Amino acid sequence: MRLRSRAGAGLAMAMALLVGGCQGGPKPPENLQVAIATGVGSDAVVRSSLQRLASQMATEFMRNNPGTNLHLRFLSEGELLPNLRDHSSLGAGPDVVISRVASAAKLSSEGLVVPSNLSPKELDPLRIQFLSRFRQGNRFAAIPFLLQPSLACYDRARLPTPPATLDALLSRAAEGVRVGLPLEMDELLWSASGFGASQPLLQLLEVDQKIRRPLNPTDRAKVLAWLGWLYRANVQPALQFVDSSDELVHKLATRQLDWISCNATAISHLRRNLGSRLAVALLPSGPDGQPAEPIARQLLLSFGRDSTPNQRRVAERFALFVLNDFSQNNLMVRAVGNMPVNQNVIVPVKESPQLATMERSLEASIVPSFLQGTGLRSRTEALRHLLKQDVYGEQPPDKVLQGIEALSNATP
Amino acid sequence: MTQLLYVIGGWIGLVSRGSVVLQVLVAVALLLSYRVWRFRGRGSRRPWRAVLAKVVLAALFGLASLLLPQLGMAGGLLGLFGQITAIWTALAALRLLLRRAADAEAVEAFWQRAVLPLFLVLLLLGLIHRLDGLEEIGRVPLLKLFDQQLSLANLLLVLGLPYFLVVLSELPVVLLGEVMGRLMGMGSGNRKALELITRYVLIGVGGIWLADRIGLNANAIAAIAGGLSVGLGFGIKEVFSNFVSGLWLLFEGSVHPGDVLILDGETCQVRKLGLRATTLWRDRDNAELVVPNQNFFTATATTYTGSDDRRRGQVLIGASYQHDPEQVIAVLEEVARAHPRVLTDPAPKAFLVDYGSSSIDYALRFWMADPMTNLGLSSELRRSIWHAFKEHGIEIPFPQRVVHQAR
Repeated sequence: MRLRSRAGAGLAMAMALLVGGCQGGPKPPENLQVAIATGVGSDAVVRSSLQRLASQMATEFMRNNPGTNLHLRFLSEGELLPNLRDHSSLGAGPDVVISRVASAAKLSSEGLVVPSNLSPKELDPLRIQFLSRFRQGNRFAAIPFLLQPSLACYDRARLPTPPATLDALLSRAAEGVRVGLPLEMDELLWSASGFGASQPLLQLLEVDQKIRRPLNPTDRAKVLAWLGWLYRANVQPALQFVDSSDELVHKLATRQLDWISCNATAISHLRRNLGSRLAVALLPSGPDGQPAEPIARQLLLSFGRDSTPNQRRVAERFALFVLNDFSQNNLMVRAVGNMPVNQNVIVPVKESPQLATMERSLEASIVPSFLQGTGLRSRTEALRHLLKQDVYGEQPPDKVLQGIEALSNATP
Repeated sequence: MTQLLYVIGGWIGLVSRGSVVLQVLVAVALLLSYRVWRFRGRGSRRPWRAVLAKVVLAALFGLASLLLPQLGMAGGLLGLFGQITAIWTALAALRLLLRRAADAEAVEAFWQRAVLPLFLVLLLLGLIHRLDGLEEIGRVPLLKLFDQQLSLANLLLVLGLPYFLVVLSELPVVLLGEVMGRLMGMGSGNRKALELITRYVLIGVGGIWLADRIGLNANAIAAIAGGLSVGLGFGIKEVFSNFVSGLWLLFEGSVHPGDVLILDGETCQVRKLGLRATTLWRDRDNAELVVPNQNFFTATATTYTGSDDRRRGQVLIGASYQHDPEQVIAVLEEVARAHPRVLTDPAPKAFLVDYGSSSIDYALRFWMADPMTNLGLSSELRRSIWHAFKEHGIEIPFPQRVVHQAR
């Protein structure tokens, strides 16, 4: 009993020290928790790229800010929300969250992250692209961090020149070039843009009733043309649809495929496997020359709700650090596949054809915001099922379209 | 080690937050109130009241965890404390029930050695998991062992698993032994041997799994074996010899717990077959003898429980020359047959064994089911023979010597 009483007294003393803070002596380091969502499900390629990138950022920030320790926690996009709910319920949520738009939107709507205290005066010099899309009153619900465009990745030893149009892609497949396409709506939507069907589909599938718009007869014709093209594509023996982008990357890396649509973050992994045989290009345009409009991935910075004022200050300092000209330039050069949001950074398009292609892809890309594009992510599985029915001919295109329209009316 | 301190530093950043500190203060206040109540002795003599108090404490934690979010503050930590208290309360109730149902001392020993340490370890791991994620911290490299990087998770396994393997395997193995014993009609000796072998197998498999888990390679194992062989040659030869003898005895089945042996002329029962030594119980003075296993391996062992449990006993008695041996033999056999603990098959038999200087000497041989009862049964038979001889007028003569004096 005496021992227990002493232990109790010790605990009380420790608590008093914790609450009161130690006076004098060297200042203890400030510890910051950074949660990083590393992609969806089996997105192993993206995950390893993001982990490397985050570790680089953290090391450089700590080198420039002695007395600050960053603790990185890597989670999949699927784990992020439950994990943050759990930690925030304890009062131990992260100080900074790096995630894609869909996750950041959910975190914001549940109040698990709070708007930034960074003022326009602090952010304006950085000329951050797409920042205004995340404005909430005078503050920003999240801050764009990096852009990851979609491209065509191919084996130049098998395919000297990439197909410029969707029809050319089918022709090359008919000649025996092995082509791979993903059965994920957000990764495949670029092919719909060639038919002018991507914007109508995006608007149809929006969650927010204010911006959701049903298809008119013209739009229906465009979507049906695209669904017909998908079916014709799958008739080609050399063209295959696979369930995930990760599988596509794996198949190109192991030379089972010659041409795939890919995210730029896969380049370093592919380069390690294919070496100089890897080439990247813009995704093929439509039959009438309409440019492909892929959905670019965008990473956002959000701020946790449980931070102490000091932790919050350090978190915002970290945000400004990773957004400054130096860091953004560094990330673009060292973490292949990532493009800066800081418009002060000059992309060396003349020196690097790869960066030039990424820059051009971004110019045509659809960049999602909290309001736009999240409807696709929340209906991934149902849309994959409908796309499968179309490409395998289980349902005619008009029935598949009816299914998409029915899905758009249902709550995700 | 630096990385571990770095990770722990991260927790300080989390627990120093106002919302966490507030929850910890509320928890400490509730715990102190509970301790004060216990200290005043109200709960000490009534264990079920203490359990009830713990239920109230868990409910208060739960209530506080619901109230704080209403005030815009996090309350999950208090909810977690409530869950822990609820689990601890359930365990405390189970402990009380087990103490009633089974041997209280055995339950207490198992509780102190297994349940309590396991609960504390799981509690600590659970808290770390909720705070930071076990996988992350488990991967922190700590030191190198035989060219293999030993992570924190593996180090904890190396330190904790052997203890829990030894302690926790005890109860399930006994239960398994009882089930198998009933299903297969095993005797207690065979059952205990099965339990012991199963336990060694569990510990062995656990050890191999642990070696594999921490990435101990074949070279490292060879190095350990080399070191051990030198150690065995010098210092621990006897220990190893006893260990191997114990295993051999189990597999051979020549000595089981429950067997009755003769050691130095004394009847003893095998109580426990241990790793190094066998514990025997000596009936004569209720002593426990710890005998190194290799004694059974290298010397002759006499057992009454090898192929069956029956033992033959013998009582020697002398009767006067004047009595017809046929009558004496009939009386002796009648006495033995009348005793309830003397087996009827094989039937007791009396023999005329010698013409002594003072008496004709007889031997009454009889069989008993429990070899440990020889002394008591022989004593009872001798008493019965005295009464039977008196009844039949048979004299048990004193030693006689006829002295002839020369004229």
